[in-house]
Amino acid sequence: MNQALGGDWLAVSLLAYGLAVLASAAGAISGKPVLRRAGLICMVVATLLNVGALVALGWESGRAPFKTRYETLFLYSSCIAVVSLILVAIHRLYILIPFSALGSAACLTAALLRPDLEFELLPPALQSAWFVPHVVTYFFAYAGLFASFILAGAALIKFWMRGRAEGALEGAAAPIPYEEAAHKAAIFGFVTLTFGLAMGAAWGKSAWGDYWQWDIKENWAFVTWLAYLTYLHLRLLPNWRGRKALWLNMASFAAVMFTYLGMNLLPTAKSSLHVYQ
Amino acid sequence: VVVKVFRTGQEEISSEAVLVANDEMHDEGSSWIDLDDDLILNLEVREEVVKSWRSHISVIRNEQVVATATIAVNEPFSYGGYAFYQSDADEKRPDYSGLSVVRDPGLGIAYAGMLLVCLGATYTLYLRPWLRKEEAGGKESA
Repeated sequence: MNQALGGDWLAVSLLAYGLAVLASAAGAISGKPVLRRAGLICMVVATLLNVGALVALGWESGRAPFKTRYETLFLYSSCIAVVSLILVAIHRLYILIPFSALGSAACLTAALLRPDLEFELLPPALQSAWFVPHVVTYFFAYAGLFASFILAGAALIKFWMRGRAEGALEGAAAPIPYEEAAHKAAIFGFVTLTFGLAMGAAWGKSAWGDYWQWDIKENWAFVTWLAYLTYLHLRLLPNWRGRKALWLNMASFAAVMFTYLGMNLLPTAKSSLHVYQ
Repeated sequence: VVVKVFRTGQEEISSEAVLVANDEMHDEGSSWIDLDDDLILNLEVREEVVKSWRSHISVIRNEQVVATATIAVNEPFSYGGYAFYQSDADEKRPDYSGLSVVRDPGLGIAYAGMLLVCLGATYTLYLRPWLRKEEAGGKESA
């Protein structure tokens, strides 16, 4: 029988994420603390199941399960969930839960649509001590930038609501909820991207003799890094902080998604070791 | 029901039908056997995956071997400012090995630059705001 690897784990964590979306969204809309708490509990359970799925994949394959698109989708959904739970624990950003649960569920659904049926072996280039720290650092960065994307969206909606309620001029003076949080999450994502990029360079040097090869993934990782660098700088300007910078933040996340999953669309994808098939 | 059985190693296959199919597999890459009215055994030849490429390196100076090493992908060998990398290989030609020899005297500067970018980003975006906050907090309480 051809079965998706870790398929049972995938199904139960997907179910738990689905429940987390429903309960936390209902909690956010109705404002009832019971529903919000139920959503949070579902999210914690889903996260544990998701991490369990990842551990199971690693256990069965006998290597770090970060080789294929399918495997990294398990990793990305775990990172999104863990980062959003940390942000809830530290900054009480409950707004993240329904969206993060939805994001993680989307990852697992994408995994389910094109599952791995058997484990692939690691090619020589990936057999390195850098494999785990480089990939995990990047996926935590991507998860932080996902949170930033959601918070920027929430801030833009708050902006719009305030503009309608009070008129744009009055609304612009006071700080907008979630704008600062979106900035902080982007800072986390950016700093983590920087470390991931440097680790990748060190790995490239030991594998190929060069720390930068102008490989498509490297180029797009650099574009992503530059996009957030631009956001962080432009946000310092008074006429950019607020709506414009938030839009730039959200647009930059498109670069993250393209770097992660869009590489197959490029003509030189076949020659790259970075592309998740 | 279709059962797919993948031939992964050198397992002994004793059934006569499987042996016939096995010959076909070598010619065509795959084969199948009717086991039952609704049961088919599908056999496929899988591409072998290379686990490691290795080359034995000897450094000869004045007709004398001064150093030897085994290099592999991710395991280069350095001697006298030169690094030897296993950069290419061909599974059909085991006597061929692609090596690159790299002299990179500026590498330290490049690494120092990367380290500075990492530390600078951490300082500017985390440490400095935190220090300022501490300072402001200290002033308030004083």
